[in-house]
Amino acid sequence: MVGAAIDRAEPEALTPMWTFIIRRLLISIPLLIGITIISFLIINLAPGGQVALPGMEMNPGLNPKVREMIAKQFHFDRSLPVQYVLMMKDMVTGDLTSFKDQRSAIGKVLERLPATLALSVMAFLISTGGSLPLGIYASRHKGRWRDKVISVASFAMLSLPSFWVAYMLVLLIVRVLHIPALGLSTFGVDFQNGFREAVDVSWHVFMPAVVLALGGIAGESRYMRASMVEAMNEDYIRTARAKGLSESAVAYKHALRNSLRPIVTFVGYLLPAFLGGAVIIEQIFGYPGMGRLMYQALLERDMPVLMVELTIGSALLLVGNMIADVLYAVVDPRVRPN
Amino acid sequence: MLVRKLLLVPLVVIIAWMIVAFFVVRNAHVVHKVDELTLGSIGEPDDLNPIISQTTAASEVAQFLFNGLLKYDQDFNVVGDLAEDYRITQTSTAFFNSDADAAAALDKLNAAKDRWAAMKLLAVKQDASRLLLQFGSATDRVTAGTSYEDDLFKIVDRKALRPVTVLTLEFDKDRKLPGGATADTENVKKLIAAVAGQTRAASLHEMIAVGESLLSVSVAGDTKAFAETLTRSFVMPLAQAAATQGAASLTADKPAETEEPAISIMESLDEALLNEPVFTFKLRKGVRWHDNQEVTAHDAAFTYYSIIDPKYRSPRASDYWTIKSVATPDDYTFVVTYRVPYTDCTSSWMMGLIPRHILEGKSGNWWADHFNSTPIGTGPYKNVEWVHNEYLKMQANEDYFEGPPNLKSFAYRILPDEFVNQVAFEARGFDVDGVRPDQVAEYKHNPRFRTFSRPADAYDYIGWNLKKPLFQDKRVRAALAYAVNVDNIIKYIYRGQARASNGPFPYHEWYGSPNLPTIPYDPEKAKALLAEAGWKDRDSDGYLVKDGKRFEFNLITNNGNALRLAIQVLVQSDLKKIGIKVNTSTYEWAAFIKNYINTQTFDACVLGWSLGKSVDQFQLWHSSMIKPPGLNFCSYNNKEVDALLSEIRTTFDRQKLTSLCQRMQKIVYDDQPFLFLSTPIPTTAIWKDQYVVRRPDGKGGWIVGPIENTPAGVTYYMQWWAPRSIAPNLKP
Repeated sequence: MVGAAIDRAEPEALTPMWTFIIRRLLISIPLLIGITIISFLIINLAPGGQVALPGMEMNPGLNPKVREMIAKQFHFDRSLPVQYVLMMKDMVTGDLTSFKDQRSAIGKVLERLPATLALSVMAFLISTGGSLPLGIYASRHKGRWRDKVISVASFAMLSLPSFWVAYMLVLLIVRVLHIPALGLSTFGVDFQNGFREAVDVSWHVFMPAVVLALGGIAGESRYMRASMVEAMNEDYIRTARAKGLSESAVAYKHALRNSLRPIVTFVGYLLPAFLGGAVIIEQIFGYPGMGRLMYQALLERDMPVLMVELTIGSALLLVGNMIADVLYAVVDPRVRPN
Repeated sequence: MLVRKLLLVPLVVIIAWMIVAFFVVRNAHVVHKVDELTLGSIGEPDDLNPIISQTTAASEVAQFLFNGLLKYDQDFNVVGDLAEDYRITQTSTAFFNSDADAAAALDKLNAAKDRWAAMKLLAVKQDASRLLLQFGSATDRVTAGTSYEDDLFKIVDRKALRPVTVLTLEFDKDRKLPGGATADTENVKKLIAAVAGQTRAASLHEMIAVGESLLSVSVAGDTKAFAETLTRSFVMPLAQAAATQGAASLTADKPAETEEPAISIMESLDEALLNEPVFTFKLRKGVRWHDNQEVTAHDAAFTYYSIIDPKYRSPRASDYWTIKSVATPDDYTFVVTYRVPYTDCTSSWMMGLIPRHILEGKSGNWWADHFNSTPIGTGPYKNVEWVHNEYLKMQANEDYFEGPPNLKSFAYRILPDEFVNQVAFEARGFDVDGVRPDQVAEYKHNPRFRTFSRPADAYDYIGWNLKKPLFQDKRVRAALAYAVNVDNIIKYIYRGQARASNGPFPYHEWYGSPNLPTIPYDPEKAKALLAEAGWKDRDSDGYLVKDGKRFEFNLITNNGNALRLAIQVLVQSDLKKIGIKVNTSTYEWAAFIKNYINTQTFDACVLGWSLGKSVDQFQLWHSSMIKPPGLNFCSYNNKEVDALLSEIRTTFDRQKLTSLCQRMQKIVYDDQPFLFLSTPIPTTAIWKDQYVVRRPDGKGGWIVGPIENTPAGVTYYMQWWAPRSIAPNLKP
């Protein structure tokens, strides 16, 4: 890459990779706006309309003036397009507050972001750390019983609903093993030192992460296996074998590198999948992340929080896709922009 | 191969780390915590400010942080909390036609002074053509309402009096009055004064602004004529008003029939005397806020002003609309004068007081940022630490005025759902749990727990939309009640954890009617009643027909409530047996309310009322509450019940209230506007070996005993629960 820049004799110019990234970012902006418009419309399509603040229905005690004031604050008295623009404006300036407790909607979502990112990263580590060896192992024993066992197990993992797995795990850990697993840390225990506290938190992140990662492990390992099997049939493998390289050198040096390319794209799409899965899993584990906030905002029809959630969620999704594209370019010189 | 080994490194590291974590967590997990009271809940408080919060979770937490002026004792008697003592007296005004009549009545009263004590009359004063009567008693806390009038009219001739009406007018500030002026309080007052000037037979006594859009007007004399003139002049549709004034062009571009009047009569109370109860609280001295400032009557007044200020959006404002004025004659005396007698006024002072020295002059947003989630209260626990969606934790207030709490901290855990909630409770994650009906038997027999059951102040019902011709015949409604097997609903849906309901007031309360029998399951009688009403199976297809129409209706409910869905199905099958076709559907809550309940377009709905301790069910049954947001959406309209409802909310005497409520119960149950189903009997479980109660006896000492059920529930003394170790010999 550095060489390419020098060849062009334009030292100040951005490298093609940076141009690529920046272009992707610029394309993301209209995409994000489009997503917010669709989200806004879908929320407004919900039956019953929007003026469903907690306690407003069936509460004759609420002064009608207060009702009107609330409607005014959230611009319910304006037309839908105007509402959308005002809501986005409030979101940018940070004035958008939750229906439920009047706290800033952005603040409520951002304070949940670290927990959800930690969960996603942990789920990513588990799924990738588990699926690569598994997929390679299966491909190395293609067609034999070990491969078949792994296949069956993968399909089982794919087909078990994750909410059911989550409930069973909670039952096993809390009811059978009597170990806390709910929330982000053990409730009511003073660990007295930072290390133990960190270990405790990691335990609480680990449990939901395993459930989230299960589908990932199954899918990714199947993908890895197929990719590896395909690579092992390539001409260069025959060349390598003809050179007299050991079978493991052939597999791990030549085949593995080439079979990783499709995996990289898969990894890029895992992040949004984890964010989506987190809505249910976080709820079951009482894990205080964005997913749980979203679930509750849905139940409470907390429209501002939902909007912020959807916007930040889709921004993360776009970032995930972009990382996948960039990584793809990094591992495969053929798709590098120039 | 190095790559081969490296591939396994992340997996090995993660697994190894988790094994370490497993043991660290297991060893640290304390099974027997002793100095912390923990509650678990599926809902999270919305707000901890008692004047704003709306959720049950919030009130559960608030009882540990705040105190009201009054509270219920364990038997639901009203007792002082921050107020050491309270007294309700009454100032009544009698209006006469002339000064001479008033003087004559005064003479009669003075002549019968020996009978004053019996009717609790303290003093009488003449003011031109009016007599001001002071009611009160040194022995009774409450001397209010209309129960003294009968005795009074044995002495003073009732006919000499001019009757009084208290009208509550609602006006819309954004509209114009007939003359073109804005309908604000000042202009509305002017107009009403003008009306009063036109009506010779009636005299305007007083106008009191209530909130920003209500005006309470008291009138004596020919109140009917006054109300008529008022309606004719001002409370008619704007278009008509404009037309009568020759300004039809004003409304030419608007369809006249859609115009709502700028002023409307919301409520009208006809009385012989103008009765104004006066509530006097004597506050305890030396009670301090958590920041060490003393609690005074000014805090109570500030709490009241904050509630009625629309700026702070209190959902409880309407509970305080009957107040005429509040006063603080000194730091420890708080006096509230009501416009009209209102029996529920005691419970409105059970709401937690909020500190004036912190909140005065601040905006609602400042409250939200600095107070509502980290409040300063007066309660037994303080210093709230709130980790959203996880828990709230607070520390004992060692300076609590009733004595320091026995447990060092209080935690309120927020759990994701019923299943996890139960798992966490059984793992000792918290101390008290509500038991689902289907698990009551299991918990009762589990030696680790104690269970307590008490009927709730609630009932489930099927509401018939009385606007629909199908349900207008009382015999039809009675037949429906005979046809639905409520016992089966209790047995299979509530698992026996409920009792058949016999009307609007819960059977187990002092104002209930325990002896009023419920309608039994009797499909034959149902068929006979329906036949009498003209519903017969004429075409032998199994369904009843009348005037060529089949007996068919939609039974709707909200989704998300499994019990109601099950009730729908059982009712459907029961009614099919007698030839009625029931279609069922469920809707999302907001859509259900907006599209069906508020528009009153439904046929029948399965719903429940959670009532609280109030005897005032005006909102639910009065004919003026048929229009939303009134809650009488089934359009029940019975003049006798209307009168009883008005009398109930202005009566204080418990004996009289009981007979009024029982009368109303009988009438409503006979009318069957609802098919009253059942009152649930919820069960609470606690850990058997965990806590005992150590509570102040009110004389400086302490009472120690096991946790017991009280009429107010097993959790009534929760704030005084103490470690079992303080009374090791006590049997649980």
